[in-house]
Amino acid sequence: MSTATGEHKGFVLRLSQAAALGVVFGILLLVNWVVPSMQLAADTITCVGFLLLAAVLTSELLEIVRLPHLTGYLLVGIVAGPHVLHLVPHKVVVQLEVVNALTLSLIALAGGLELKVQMLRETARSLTWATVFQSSLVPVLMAAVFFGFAGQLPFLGGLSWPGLCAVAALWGVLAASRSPSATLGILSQTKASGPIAKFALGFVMSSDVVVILLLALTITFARPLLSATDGVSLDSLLVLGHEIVGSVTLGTTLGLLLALYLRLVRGHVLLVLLFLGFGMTEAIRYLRFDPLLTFLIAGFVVQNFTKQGPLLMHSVEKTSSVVFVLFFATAGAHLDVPLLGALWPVAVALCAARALFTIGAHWLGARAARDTPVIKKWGWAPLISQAGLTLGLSVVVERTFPSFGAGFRALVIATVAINEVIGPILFKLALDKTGETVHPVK
Amino acid sequence: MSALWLLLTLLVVAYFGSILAGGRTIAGFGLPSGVEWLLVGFAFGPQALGIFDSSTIRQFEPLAIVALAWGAMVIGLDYGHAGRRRISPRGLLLGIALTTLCLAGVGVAVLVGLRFISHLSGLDAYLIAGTVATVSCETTRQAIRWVSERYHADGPLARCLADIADGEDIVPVLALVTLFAFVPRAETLVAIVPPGWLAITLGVGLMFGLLGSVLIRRSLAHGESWGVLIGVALLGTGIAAQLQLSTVGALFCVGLTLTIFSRKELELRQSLQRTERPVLLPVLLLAGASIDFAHAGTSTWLVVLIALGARVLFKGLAGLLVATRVRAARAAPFSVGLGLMPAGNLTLCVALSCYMSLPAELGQFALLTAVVVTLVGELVGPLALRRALHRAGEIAGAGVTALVAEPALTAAEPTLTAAEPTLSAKESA
Repeated sequence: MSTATGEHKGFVLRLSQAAALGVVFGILLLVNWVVPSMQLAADTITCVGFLLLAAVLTSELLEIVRLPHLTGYLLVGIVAGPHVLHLVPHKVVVQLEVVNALTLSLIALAGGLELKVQMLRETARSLTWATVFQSSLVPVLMAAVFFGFAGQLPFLGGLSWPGLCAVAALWGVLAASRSPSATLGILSQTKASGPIAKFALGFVMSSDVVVILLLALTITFARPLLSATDGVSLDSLLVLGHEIVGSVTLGTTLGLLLALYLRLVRGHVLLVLLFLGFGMTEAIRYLRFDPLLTFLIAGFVVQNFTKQGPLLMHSVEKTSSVVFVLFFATAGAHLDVPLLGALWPVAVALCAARALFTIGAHWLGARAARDTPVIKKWGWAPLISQAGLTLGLSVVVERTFPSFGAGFRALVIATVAINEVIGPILFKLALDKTGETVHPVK
Repeated sequence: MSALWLLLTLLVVAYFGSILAGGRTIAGFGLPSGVEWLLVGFAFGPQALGIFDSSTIRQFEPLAIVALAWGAMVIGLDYGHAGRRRISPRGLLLGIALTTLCLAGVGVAVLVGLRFISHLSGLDAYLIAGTVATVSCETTRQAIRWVSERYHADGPLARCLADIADGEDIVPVLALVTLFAFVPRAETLVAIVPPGWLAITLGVGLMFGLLGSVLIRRSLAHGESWGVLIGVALLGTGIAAQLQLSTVGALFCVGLTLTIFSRKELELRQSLQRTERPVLLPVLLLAGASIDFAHAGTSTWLVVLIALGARVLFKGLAGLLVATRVRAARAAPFSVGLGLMPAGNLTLCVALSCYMSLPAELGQFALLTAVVVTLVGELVGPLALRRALHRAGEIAGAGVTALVAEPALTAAEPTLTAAEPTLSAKESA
């Protein structure tokens, strides 16, 4: 029994891990029984410890069936969360949302660090065609499918035809979003290297920017269709331009400062990353720039214009290895299982349609780009996952259109729940099948 | 100040802490106990400048609980070791005996004092005496190491004092665990007598320590090992906190169990030692901001003074007892005793833990006593220790030859510090 990293893990170790997992669950159940009313501080500490330990153990055990670690983290969150075993109460899940800012900054930094100019040059044609097809076909086709299901979605009641078209367009754009965190989580676990890994990184990271732009444009044109008093205002495009230019500028400055720090000081990078994750994210939000884009650019600058890329990458990987566990376990605990139960027929249909269109768009893109057979066959697999970014975009839609936003977001959560679980499994399967996890291709 | 600004301030303090852990403490930068951060916190807190307000500080309570417990785990991991060498059973026993003597002496003195200055009796008086004694008995290893390395001291007395300071940590921890066990607690589903809670605390520590030992099989370079370690520490802390047990005591046991049973014991100790200061200094800042001297009455200050007097007396007595075992100490036995005065991380951890988890009155006694004891220790201890080592001829360039060349209590290695390269050296390597 060996892992992707080639390390042998014997039966005794697996047995001890399974026993330890049982002990951890048992202890928490016992303590919750003995001390039913708890203080929030103690509760939070216990839950964080439990999620970390149980998630790591579960992910290790799932290695036996070659499932990705990420699935283990999500599974523990779902099982222990407020909707199943109630070991992690809702108030704690809400408190743990502070980790999100740190995680997203690490994800974006790592994403930027992974984007090497050389790699982008090599995959430029593939990425361009994939972006063209994925960002045009998938939103349009998914909007059409959503429109078809409109009659079964109570939160759309009362909307006019143009309004329904606008909501469907918003859905289409969200369907084109991917999960940078899941992509990086899988690549970080498997240490995979090869055409699929390169394509996944390049496409998922760059498509974020496209989706953010598309959403801003769609919102601009959806407003007058959903409200008689609103008109098309180019102000929002101006704001978007300000956001993008500002984020790129700040990201470049931040990247250069980070490189300078690493060159002069080198040490204590963990604390610097924490400072960036919590403090800098808030500062970026205050300036109304996009934290994801800013950190992505910062990582890109450090990797491609300085010699400090490997050092920063190592530090980010070390920090994120623990932060990712907590992030995904909390995401699992956040999954609204009853809601998923209520919306599952529509959610499953939408997910299936999205997967189908993604595969189709990928096939067309790969043909146009004359990609290698490996990319043609498996390149769609990393594009199925959806997670934090999609949920974040759904919050933007909810805030902008409160009349139907809550129901819209609930449906997004339900579909993300499915894609979040299935996507990483498919991506890991693709990496395994193409041999990128076992024998990394140089 | 908003929670975000406070968090960023704490991160900056932690950054300084990690620089200090890089070895500059030994070169003489910063006090061995780090008590200056407590005073900085007090200056910034609501009682002085008011930059930090109480409600914001309270938001960081979980962080403070975790940091204290983590500090205790690191101390537990390092228990019985002076650098890389294991201290001898004799050194361990001497440290435990001398500290127990001080604990008992201060406890009795405070108990007697309470009869005269207050109307407290019964369990209340015992709890106050126990709390004050618990934070008055430690000698911090950092101070001994600080003086030894700063003045390049080496010899039987320096090694004996290092052994005592390293070996005695278990006494205040066990006293704290006992204290928590006896403090009346909120109702639980199962009624358990105080010795039962004491056993449960130790059991929680042992269980999570064993869990960590079994599960951490790979180097800490692997992310999942850190995940398991942090998970074990947090779960142990959280469960101890939920059961109203001593989190510091439980996590000290986790550390001790790891150091005994883990295959990665050396790597764990080396990696975690680097985290001690960065984790504890922000907590000292927070704790300093929480100190409320305004509500401490005359009787409280009298109790603190009694404890301080008793500590001086019993540490002096300890110096005399050391002189009976180590000839080099006979040149200045009382200086040796005063050299045992510095208190440090453990005392502050214990006091802060009492302050956050025990009833308010006990917590205030603990924190005030710890602050006073630590400050006096910082003023008196290093000077007395330097004098004692100088008189014993163990300070390089002192011009005095050692009185007698005698085998040390632990003759495992030639110098106190040679076996362990400084952390900064390791880091740069």
